[in-house]
Amino acid sequence: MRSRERRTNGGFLDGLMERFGIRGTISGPLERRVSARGALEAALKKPIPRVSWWSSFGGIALFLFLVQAATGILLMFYYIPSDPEAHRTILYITGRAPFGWFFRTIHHWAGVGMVITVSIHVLRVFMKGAYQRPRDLNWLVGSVLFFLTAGFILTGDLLPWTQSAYWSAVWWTDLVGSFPVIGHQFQLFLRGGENITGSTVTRFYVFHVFGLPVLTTLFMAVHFTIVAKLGLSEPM
Amino acid sequence: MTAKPYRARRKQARHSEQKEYPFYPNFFLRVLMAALGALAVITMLSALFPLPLDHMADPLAQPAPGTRALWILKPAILLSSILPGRSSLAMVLIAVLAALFVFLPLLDRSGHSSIRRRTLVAVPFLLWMLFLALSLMIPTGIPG
Repeated sequence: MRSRERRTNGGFLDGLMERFGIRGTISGPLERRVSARGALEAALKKPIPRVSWWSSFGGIALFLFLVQAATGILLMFYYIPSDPEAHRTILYITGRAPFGWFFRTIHHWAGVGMVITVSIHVLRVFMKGAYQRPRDLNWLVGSVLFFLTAGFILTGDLLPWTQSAYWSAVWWTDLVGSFPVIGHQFQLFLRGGENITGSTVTRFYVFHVFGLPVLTTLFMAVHFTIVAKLGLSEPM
Repeated sequence: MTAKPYRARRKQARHSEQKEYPFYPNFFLRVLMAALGALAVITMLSALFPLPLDHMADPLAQPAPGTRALWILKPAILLSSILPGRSSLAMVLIAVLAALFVFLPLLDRSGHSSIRRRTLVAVPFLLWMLFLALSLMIPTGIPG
């Protein structure tokens, strides 16, 4: 009797979910128009090789990228990218904005975590020899993603407009400027002039919140499309 | 075409079951669990060690001695210290190393997955990774 009741309740709840839940929305009006459910289920249920925990690092890097995006948007509500407002607004975020210090620290550590997880992911791909044909193009796209991740750290470091960040930026942009032929032009493009000033902060902010995220999203889309097409590499 | 005997089919099914599983939910949930673990570590670190804030940049003031360089720059600082006063050469060296990393599939077309059969590529690559890891641990100041 009890089991019959449960079955009835389950059926009722299932009915509600079908009618009002996400599944119902997808299988209802959306499905009637685009018929995407079959393709979506086929993609999700696609068999993959039984892999180890080491294969999770690419996914963790993606998750940390999303954490960075979420906390970054929260910081954008208060931050002003110019001299001296950049430092003042970071002081405000750290000292007065509700949980500002917490989200700023999470944003920082998620960036560090992303570099570590991407590095472990690269090392695993190398150890398995999964950079060779037919996955050679995916290595190329992945290595660009690696440098884009480093770009996030380099541009984000200057944004609080602190003394140590200023001198770090002076050092690495000087190094970039010393590259033969195109170095000086690229340095001017990065700095927005001969020296690092408030306009460099604005420039780095644009790279950090628009240029790099757009490029990273595009390259990630290509990276995951190739993974979906070729499948995960077999375990060692 | 004759059907396979029942035992053979069962053995084959068990074999494929061991070798593969669906992306969702098996692999997806595994990655999600690992990612939530990483987020828990990051949240704990953030709560225990709030990020300090240095004083405001003053372009006219020289950096205080011992000002720490950005951690991601440490390998580049160490590489450039090998070639003092030749920053162009150091930058070219860094660019060549980056290009070797990107175009690795062109350097190794052996087709072997075993690391023992790829020693010519594996030894320099792993030494490079070791250098990167060790350089991050050395306290490095901004070069004057």
